[in-house]
Amino acid sequence: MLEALLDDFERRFPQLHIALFLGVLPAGMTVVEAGFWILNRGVRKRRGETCENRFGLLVLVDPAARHVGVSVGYALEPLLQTKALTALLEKHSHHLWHSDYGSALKQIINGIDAQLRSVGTARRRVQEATAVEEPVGQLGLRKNTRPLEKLEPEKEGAQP
Amino acid sequence: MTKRASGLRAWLLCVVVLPLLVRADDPRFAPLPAWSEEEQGILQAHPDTPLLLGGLLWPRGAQGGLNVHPDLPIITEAEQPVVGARPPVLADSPDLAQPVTDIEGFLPPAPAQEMDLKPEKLEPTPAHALKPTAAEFAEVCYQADPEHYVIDPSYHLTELEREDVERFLAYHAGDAKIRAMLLVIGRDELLDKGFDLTRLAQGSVLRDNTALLVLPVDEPWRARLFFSSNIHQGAKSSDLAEVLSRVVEQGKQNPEREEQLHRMLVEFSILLFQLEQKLAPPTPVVPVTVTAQEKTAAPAPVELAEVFTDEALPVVMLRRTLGHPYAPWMLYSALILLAALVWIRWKAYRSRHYEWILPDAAPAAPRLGGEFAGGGGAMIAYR
Repeated sequence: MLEALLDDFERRFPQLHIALFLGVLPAGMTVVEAGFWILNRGVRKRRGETCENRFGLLVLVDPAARHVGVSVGYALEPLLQTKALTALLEKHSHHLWHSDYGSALKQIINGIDAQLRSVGTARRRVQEATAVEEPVGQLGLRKNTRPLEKLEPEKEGAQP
Repeated sequence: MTKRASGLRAWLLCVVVLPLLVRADDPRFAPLPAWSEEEQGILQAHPDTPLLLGGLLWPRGAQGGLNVHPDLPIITEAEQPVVGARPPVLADSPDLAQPVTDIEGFLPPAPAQEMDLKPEKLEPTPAHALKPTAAEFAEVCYQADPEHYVIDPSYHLTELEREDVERFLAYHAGDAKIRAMLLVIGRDELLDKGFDLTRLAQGSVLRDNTALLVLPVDEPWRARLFFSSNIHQGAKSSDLAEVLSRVVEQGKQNPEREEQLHRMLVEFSILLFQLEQKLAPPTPVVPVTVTAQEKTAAPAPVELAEVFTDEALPVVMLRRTLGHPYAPWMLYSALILLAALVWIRWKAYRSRHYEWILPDAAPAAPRLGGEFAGGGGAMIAYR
């Protein structure tokens, strides 16, 4: 469910990329620090190209410390206000309190989606050409379209 | 001197005594009534009775009038009847013996009608609640007096209404070539399928050019109109349909029953007069030899045919639906639901087929040594 949600999100906002982090952070590290580190050091590839981390968006949940945070790159800072993001996280924190992380992340992503739609300009999406590149399957594998090499039959007795 | 004295006495007699005598005979100067001994005895027998005007007036009886008999109960203030009694201001007037409702008989018709409450707007009887007329009803209709123009076996009309309508239709029949008849049925009734209109009033409907209006009381929109077959042949169907629609329209515009009946019949009469002017001259009858086989094969001629409005059934159903009192609210609700549905569908379509391009806002200045992010965002603790 979350995979599809993230795919749809990135399809609606082709400039940016989003990632989720759900795990226990090392002691002494907050979700803000983790987001800062991941956005500056991490590399995200999409369709063979490295994504620009200035348009990166990261949602982090630390169930042990009971912290949730949203980290954004420099390009998104003017579009997503800290106050609005805090209100969004507080609005859906009850899901997290009940350990319903799926619903919480879905609501948070939808909220960010709505905020970005309000500042973005809508346009009809042009269908991507599928002939050039096959979409990846569920396991991240592409169908092998390379033609098989034709082995030439060895001639008997043709030894050098 | 003597003459002068006698003249003076005569003058005094004329000027002073005669007017006194005349005043004594004038009823305006009659002496005040006084209780008789019997009446005073009754008053003393009921010392606790609250008497009006300090005990100068007689107590009221149980019927609202004067209680002149010692054995009859005397109504105290607490026991005063509320309904049908007047306030005790005129307790000594004899008209207290008359109940208040009797006064309507002494009023002219207009004020008496104004005293009546306005009739409530009746809801149309739903189609499933309509019941066909009974067989007894049909028998009474078949045996109705052929000289009468109103057939009302169930007495839905009052006697006064029936006589008025009868008089009006008789007057109409005296001058018109198409006579009008009225068959009244109940507001939740419809003519049974087996009802034979040709036998109505001992078959008198087939005598002349007849227009029969079948009217459910208080539901003029369900009125049905039947014409003799020669009228059907001589007039356009649109003209006949117009008669029905205009009569029904008159009925719908006047919800008050008596007024409704009056207006409908007046309109009916006028339209019948107009219709007879449009009727084509009767075709001359050409004798045709008909064989016995043809006689048996030929269907029975239609003697009384119904008029239908020009509107198609969907139009009629739509008009009836829109005429329902809750129709505007249902329409608004349906429109709101439709708008909400369209909006939801549009949102879903937009999220699938649209993309949003973010504006080229000036990115924040790099800080904390971060190349792509400077710790921007938000964080909360959900403990």
